[in-house]
Amino acid sequence: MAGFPLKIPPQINRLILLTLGIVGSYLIARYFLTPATFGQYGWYRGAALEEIASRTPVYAGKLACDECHSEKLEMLAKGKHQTLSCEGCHGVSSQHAANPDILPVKMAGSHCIRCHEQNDSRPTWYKQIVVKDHYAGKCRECHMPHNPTEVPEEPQPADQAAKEEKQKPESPEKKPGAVEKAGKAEKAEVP
Amino acid sequence: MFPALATLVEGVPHFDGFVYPNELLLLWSVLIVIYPYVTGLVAGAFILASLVRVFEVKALEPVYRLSLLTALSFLLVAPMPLLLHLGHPERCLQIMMTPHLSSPMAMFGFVYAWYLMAVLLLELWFDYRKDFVEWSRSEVGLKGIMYRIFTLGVEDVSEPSVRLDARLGRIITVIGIPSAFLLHGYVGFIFGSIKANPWWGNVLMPIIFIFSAMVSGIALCVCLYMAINWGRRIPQDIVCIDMMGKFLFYALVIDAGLEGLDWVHRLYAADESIHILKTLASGKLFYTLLVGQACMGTVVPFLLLGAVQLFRKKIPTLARERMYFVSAALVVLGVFAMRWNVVIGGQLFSKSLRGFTSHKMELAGQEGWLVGLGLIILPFVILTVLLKYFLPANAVLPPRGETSAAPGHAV
Repeated sequence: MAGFPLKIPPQINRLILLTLGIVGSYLIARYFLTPATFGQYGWYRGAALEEIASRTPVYAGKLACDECHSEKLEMLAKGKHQTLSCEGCHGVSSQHAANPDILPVKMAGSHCIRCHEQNDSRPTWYKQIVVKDHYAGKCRECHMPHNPTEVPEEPQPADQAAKEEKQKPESPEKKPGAVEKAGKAEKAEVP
Repeated sequence: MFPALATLVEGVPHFDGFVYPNELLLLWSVLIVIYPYVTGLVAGAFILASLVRVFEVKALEPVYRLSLLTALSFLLVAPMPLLLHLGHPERCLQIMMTPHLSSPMAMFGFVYAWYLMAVLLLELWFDYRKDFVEWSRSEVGLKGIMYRIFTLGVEDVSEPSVRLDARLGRIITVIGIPSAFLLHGYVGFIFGSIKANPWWGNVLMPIIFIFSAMVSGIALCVCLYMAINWGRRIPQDIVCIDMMGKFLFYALVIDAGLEGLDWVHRLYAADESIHILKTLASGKLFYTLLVGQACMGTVVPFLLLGAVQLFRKKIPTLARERMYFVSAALVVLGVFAMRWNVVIGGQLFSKSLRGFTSHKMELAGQEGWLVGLGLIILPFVILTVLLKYFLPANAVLPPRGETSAAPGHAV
């Protein structure tokens, strides 16, 4: 075979081996790292559909709330907040719906300013406040979340509100986590 | 003082006119500015190297290896801004595992891999193979082992073998030129194909990106070559610098011509977006576009380089060197301003064509000044390491097979 015309120079030979090594590693990695059901229905993992569908719902829905808290829902239906869901403010409640002793999952942060904090991207007709310029106390001292056009007859100091909520833990509106530190009551602009 | 300053800052309006809610905040910030900038420097430095290999411009021989190593240092950093920009950088390899051919973003992984593995590293390997073999024999310890690994076990440095290296290196450079155009033209394509944005959606965009990449890459190599020579106390090779200056001037003429053509076309066609684009250019982008990019980054270097081309023999060597350096530095900064104007400018005006938002960079955040500066400095750190091991001050250029230039000082 000394006169074999296709004698490959050593550097080419080494590069071919290196290329085969790199491409081979890629193909092996691809074989192991591509999910088995990828491409079953489209450019995603087919099994993801079943996984997502098998997750237990965490929201109970307004109908479930209506079974015990119909008076709150009636009040809600009269005001500007009629389109809001209960769990949007009170937290996910499927466990609470099944067992009233389990309180809804407490949500972090203030529920009101999630929607009513000043933000340039919101329409101007939308009620907005600049939190640091607004009253520092609790929103519910001056506003009624279930019907925001109404104003509480008596300003509610925070400790009193907390006391009430402790006494009635079954009411999703009055869960202990909703109480914040409050200063003196003061009537503020309705957000 | 501070409350007054805070009031002043808060008093600056976030937007003017009508802006849609999802346009208030910029989604692509400084990291996406750095990404096309760095990629362009890679492509430009490679094109400079190809002038030696393919077009046999022998005067540029001293800067050949420096430009390739510069391209490699910047190419290694090119994907980092993208990874830092992503919310889940650990998922980056998924685009390689399940590649989606209809997504130009996803194709970047392959374009990048091709350019790094099949072009740049291969060309460097063929150029350095003989040196690797010699260094692996002369160096001991870890350095010797490193050079031995880089030989890939091929010890043959006979005359026919080295000649074959030179021929293969040339073939790879020929393939590399369209690859460099592909790498950076692709970046321009990403912007140019966004037809909903009149600032970006433009068929000239990939071509403008390619030529601005060439300009920035050549200018960077001029600056680096001169700075490294100063640092190493090696006399400047004025013939090489003159030649780089000449190519920088030609590339700048074409680049400025294309960008001017783009503006002339926009102004004459007077599409419905032209009013807001004019307001953008003369308002929000006044300092970066008109002052930075057009005046300092294009007109001043154009005049300086043009003067050197016209009156080369009348200008003393030292003055020429300084004019080249200043022009090249201005061009490097001007092209950065161009990337900023494209990426940030394209997001400052509303799709309603009736309003502007504003952008203020944070200092230490994910897309802040510190991260941006780090990403700009990192390729220079990598290049310093590469120069230490692959382009030492006392190295003598090997005669390069087919081009067979006279030996001279490296760098």
